[in-house]
Amino acid sequence: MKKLSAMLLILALALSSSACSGSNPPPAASQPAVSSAPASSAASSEQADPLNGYPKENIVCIVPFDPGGSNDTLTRALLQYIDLPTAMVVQNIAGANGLVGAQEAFRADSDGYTILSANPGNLTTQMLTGADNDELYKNLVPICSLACNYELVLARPGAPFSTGEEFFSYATAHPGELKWGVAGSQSVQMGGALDIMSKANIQCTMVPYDGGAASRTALQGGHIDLLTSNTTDARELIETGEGIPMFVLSAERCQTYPDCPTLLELGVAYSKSPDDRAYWAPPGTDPAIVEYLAEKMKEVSEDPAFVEYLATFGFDPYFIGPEELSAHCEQVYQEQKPIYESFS
Amino acid sequence: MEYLIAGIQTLLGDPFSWFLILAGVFMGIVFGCIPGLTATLGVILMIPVTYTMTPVQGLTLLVSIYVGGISGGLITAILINIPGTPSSLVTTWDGYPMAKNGRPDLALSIGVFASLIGGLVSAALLMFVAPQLSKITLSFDSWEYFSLSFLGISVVVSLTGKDTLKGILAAIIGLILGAVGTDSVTGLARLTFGTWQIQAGIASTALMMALFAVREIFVQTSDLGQVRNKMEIKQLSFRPPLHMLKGCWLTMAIGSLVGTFIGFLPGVGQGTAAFITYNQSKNLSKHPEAFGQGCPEGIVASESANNAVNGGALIPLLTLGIPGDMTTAALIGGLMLHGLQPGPLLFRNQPDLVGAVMVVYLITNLVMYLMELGLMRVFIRAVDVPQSFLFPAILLACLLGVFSLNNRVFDLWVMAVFGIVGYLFTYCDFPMPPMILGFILGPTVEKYFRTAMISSQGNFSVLLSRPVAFIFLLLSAVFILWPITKGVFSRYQAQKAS
Repeated sequence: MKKLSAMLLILALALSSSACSGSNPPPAASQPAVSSAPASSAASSEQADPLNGYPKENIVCIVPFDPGGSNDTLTRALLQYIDLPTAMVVQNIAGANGLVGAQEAFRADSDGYTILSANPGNLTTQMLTGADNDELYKNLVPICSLACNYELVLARPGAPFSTGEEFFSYATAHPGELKWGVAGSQSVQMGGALDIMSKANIQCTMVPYDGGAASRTALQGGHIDLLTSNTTDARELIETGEGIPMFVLSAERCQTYPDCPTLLELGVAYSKSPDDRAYWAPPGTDPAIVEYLAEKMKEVSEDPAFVEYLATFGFDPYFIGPEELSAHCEQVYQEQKPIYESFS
Repeated sequence: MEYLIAGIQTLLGDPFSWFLILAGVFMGIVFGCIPGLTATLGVILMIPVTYTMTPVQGLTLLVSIYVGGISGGLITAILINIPGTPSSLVTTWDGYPMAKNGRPDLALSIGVFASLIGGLVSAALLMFVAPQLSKITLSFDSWEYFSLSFLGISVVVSLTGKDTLKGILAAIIGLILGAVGTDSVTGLARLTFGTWQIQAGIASTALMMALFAVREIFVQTSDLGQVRNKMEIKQLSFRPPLHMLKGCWLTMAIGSLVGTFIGFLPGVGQGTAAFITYNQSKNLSKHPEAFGQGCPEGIVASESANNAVNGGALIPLLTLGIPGDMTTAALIGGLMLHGLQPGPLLFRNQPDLVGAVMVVYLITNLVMYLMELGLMRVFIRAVDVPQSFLFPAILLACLLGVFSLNNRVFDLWVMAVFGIVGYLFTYCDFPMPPMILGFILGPTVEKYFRTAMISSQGNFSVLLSRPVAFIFLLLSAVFILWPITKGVFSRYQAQKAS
């Protein structure tokens, strides 16, 4: 009897191990247009199919951050609207400010079933801080950018200033008094804040937090006077009045908060490209597959329902294809390089 | 209160949710009691399954797995000295000795009852004062987190066992292991030797499984084949063993409140709550030497604290969108899958969902109590399997569980290497708990201390205007000096008597 119960235990574990390996596929109800698949395969068999029937299984999109952040939100929206014969699923692999997930994708099989959601800003930062030795942003294959959001600076509600002008005059009169919270040390946000301070000739205490969520909590708790955030993450803070938008860091105003001035308008010679959210494939992926995915994502970016959905999350639509994405990345790299050189 | 009524109404009108509660708690208990599979893993695996359900149903299933999972760890902790989940680590210290002395059923029913009370207290706080408590979450800044983590580490002093020096050495080794990875304040990589897989640090679940499951298997394998006391079930009833719990009520209250409190402070976790409560009850007890030999208070301290953390962790999740621990972070994924944005507006825009989650949490604690007691015979029988079958099965489960965290073979190597290292340390009489405390809390203490110093520009006097942080640091000093003062005090009393 003991041997029988032992055997049953082993069997139960073996069965559960096979269940574990097949994790994360969404059920069939989430796959759109499954019935049209036979029709399209009949049509495509008439011409030589450069894709060889891709995609045959689910495509995994690695999001290198924890659930809830901008990349994660955007990717989950994308997979609701994208029209693929199979499904796309999200795998969150967080760590080292996005590097661990990016490295996983870099080393994944280049069969087109693993892609990565990563921002040019984040990838170029990894190289500039020396964390990334593989030149990820040059060696990953770019697919496209889908949307962007804008960085902006919020003020704490009880602070002695609530607009950009008031902030700069107060900061000039009280050097070192104000606390400026940013997400991540040696990150794009921190570099940007230091650059603004030197260009506007003011001095604030920089407080780096372990991620955007911690920095937003600090603003809500009143522990910092201003916060660098983006239009997606700051949406709820602004709506509940716990953060007052003062200025955006881009060269033009954004659609989500059209009343928020830019730094250039306030007389500070600083601007940075908006934070676009891009998709990449491992090196060596078939260009036909890359083009196919870019096409599908372009369709999504033009879908008015998707654009409306994006707006509720604070994203503006922003589509650029593979070649332009490469050039854009290089531009972001050149923009950030002087900041990081000033760190060392 | 309207949100609670709306929640109850939603649940009453949805019989499928009732089935989900039963299925979820059962699955959670199974995941919790198998070392290697954790509650977090269970939640992550089930998130895609909830895609076809309504948001309330999905969250019902996930919360049920959460509660069942954290509680289920006590089963293997008591029966084979291997905690099923890291949160039940402290339960092994008194649960296993009690089981070895021939009363596993008593240990299990004490543990399950303590879990129930911890869960009920935190459910009450969650349902009635969640918004007020979330204000405390917001008022905590780096100084407060630093002093709380320091309080957690100061518990090390009472965990060093017989050889204080070895205990402190173990804690230092834990601190060094915790320092591996990217430093969050400067963004520089430390002790990674260029390996990208540990840029985010050594995977904590891999290390914990190594030091508690793998190591324990090696230790127990060294006396394989020896005759063991057959574990008998003398008495199995649903009534709580109140005769054994005399004198434990204070501990239960401390555990429940400490657990809820630590739950709504993000990033601290069930393990720390159990350590602090255990330490505190030992210090306050009239018979501290009984702790670690199978005394009920030890089991009560650990289990009431770790279950209370669940309810506490749901508070910042539902009111602020901030996860209180690793499993609630996974629950965020479940919310987002249904298009819900966790944040301060969730409470305002979806009060029926929030109310339903709170009510489900209360119900799952009751279901967990009944189910665990009802299945007790099955658990004890399952563990009675010969060790030569049981241990490879547990090792397999650990390998699966650790692999599914990051889909990386590297983590399995970490588990194997540290399992062997842990066994060598045990052979040399190094205690494991200080090493684990150092590993978990070391980076936290360091990160918050440095952020606090940056924020107050190196000015310690800020502490005087932050009473909560100051009090925690004072308590830490008390904990650290307690063994010394107690020794001096008892010598003084002995002198007076003679």
